[in-house]
Amino acid sequence: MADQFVGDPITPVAPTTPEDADLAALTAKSVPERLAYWRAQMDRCIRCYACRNACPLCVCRDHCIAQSREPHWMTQEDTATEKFFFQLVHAMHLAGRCTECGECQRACPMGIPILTLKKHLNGTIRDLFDYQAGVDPQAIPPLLQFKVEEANINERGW
Amino acid sequence: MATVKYISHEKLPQWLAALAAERRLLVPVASGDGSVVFRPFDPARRPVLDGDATAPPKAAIFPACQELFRYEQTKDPENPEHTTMQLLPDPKAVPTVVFGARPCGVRGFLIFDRVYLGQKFPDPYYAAAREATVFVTMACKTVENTCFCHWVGGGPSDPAGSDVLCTPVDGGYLVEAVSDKGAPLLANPLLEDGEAKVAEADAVKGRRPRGPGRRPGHRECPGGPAGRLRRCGLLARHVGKMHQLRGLHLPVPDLLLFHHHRRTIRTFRPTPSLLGCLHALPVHHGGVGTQSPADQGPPPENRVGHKFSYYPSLHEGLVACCGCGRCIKSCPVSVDIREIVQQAVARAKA
Repeated sequence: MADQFVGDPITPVAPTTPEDADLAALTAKSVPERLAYWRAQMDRCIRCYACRNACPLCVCRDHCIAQSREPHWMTQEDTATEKFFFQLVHAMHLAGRCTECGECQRACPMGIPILTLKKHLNGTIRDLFDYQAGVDPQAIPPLLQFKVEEANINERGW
Repeated sequence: MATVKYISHEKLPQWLAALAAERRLLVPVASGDGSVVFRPFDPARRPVLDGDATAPPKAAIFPACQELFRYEQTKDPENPEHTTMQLLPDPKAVPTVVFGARPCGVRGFLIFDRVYLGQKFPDPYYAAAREATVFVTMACKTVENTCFCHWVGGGPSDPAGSDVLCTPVDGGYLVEAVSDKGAPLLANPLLEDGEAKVAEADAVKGRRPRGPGRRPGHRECPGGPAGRLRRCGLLARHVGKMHQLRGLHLPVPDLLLFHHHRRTIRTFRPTPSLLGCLHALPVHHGGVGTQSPADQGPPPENRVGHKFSYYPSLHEGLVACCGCGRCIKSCPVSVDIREIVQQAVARAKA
C-alpha cells in the first residue's frame, strides 16, 4: 500500500517460526499463568513510554492517561499493576487499528513482548468483525462505525 | 586480614548464598528476551556476570518510587473539630549488597552524592540507603562499542564508588576491598588468599578501552555544550530522530531529576518518582517548553546540557554522566550522546 513505490518489490520470505508463535504459547497458558507471566514481564518495565511514543497509531497525544492528573487515572507507583494497566489501556485503544508494525516492542529498552497483547486483540477483532487493520484503505474500522446488528455478536439471542 | 582475595567460579554461588543469608542481596539476572535486571538473589537463578545489566542498579539506592512518610490524624475528644496530625517518617534502609554491577553504574552514585549528601540539603532517605548498601562491582574484561566511561573520568576497572572490586582472572575472580564498608565481606572462608592472582588481574585492569578517543572537555565549548547546542540549532537534527522517544533517559544510572506526587490510599503517601523528569514542571524550570507528546520540543537539550554543561559548571567540572552507554544501546532511533557532544565542541572551536 503506497502512493508511489520506488525500487523493486521484495519477494516475501516465509518466517522460520510462525508469526504468532508467541501468541499461541501465551494462549496455551491458563489465565492465572498468563497473569503471572505478564506480572513478571511488567516488573522490569521502567515506564519510559517509548512504546507509546514509537506507536504510529497512538493518538491521545497530550491527553494520555499516563500523564493526566485530571482525572488521575494512574499513579506513578513503580508497580507491575500500574504498568500493566497502562499497557492494557494502550492495547485496547489500538484494538482494530493496530497494524502490528511492532515498533512498540522494538522500542522497548527492556525487551517486553508487548506486541503480543496487540496481536491478541487483533485476533479478537478479526474473529468478531472480520476486519484486519492496514489492509484495505477503504474499509472502516469496526470500532469507528455502528451497526444495529453485528454479524458475529449475538446481542439479543438470549 | 588480607584485602586481596580470590574466589573460584565454583565457590561463587556459595559466597552469594552466604551474603544473601545476612542481608538483601541484589544480583543481575536474566529476565526474558535478553534483558538483565537486578533482583533479589535466588539460588535457582544464575546471576549474569559476563556483561552489563540492561537496567542499572540505581533502584537499590534511589528507587523510582518510595514512600517518604505516613501520617496519623487524631481527633481531640473534647473538641472534635480540632485534629492534630503526626508525621511518621521512615528513612530506615534495608541492609543490602549489590553484587555484579559494573564500575560505571556504581560510579553514578558519586554524582548523586554531591546532590543528596550535600551540606545544605542532605536527603535522609538517600543517606540511609547509601550507608546501608555495599557495592560489589565486576571489572569489565571486554568493552562494548557503546561504552565511554573513559570519557568521563572512569574506566573498565575504576574502583571509584565501589566497596569491593572483583576482577575476572583464570578460574574465578580476584576480590579486593576498596572501602571500609566492603572489607568485612571478604572475611568469608570461601575466599582464598589472592596475592598470586594480582599480576593477572592487573593485566586485565590495564587494558584500555577502545572508543571514540579523548572526551572533549566541557570547558572547550564557550557557554558549555548545551548553550552552544541551543544557539547553533545542532540538536535539531538529533531531536528529529528522537522527538517522540523522550523517556529513554530512564535506563541511565545518573539521572537525578525527580518530583513528588501524591497518592491517597489509607494514608497520605508523598513519594518521589523519577517519572517527574518526564513532566512539564521540571522542564519548564529548564526553560525549554513542555515535554508532552504533542510538543516535540527539545528535551534532549536539557539532558545533554545537564550532564555535560550545567552540572560540571556547578560541581568543579565533574561530568554528570558515567559513560555506561545504556542510552545509546537503548535508543530505538540510534541517537548517540557522544556524537552530540563532539559536534557541539567541534562547532564551538570552528
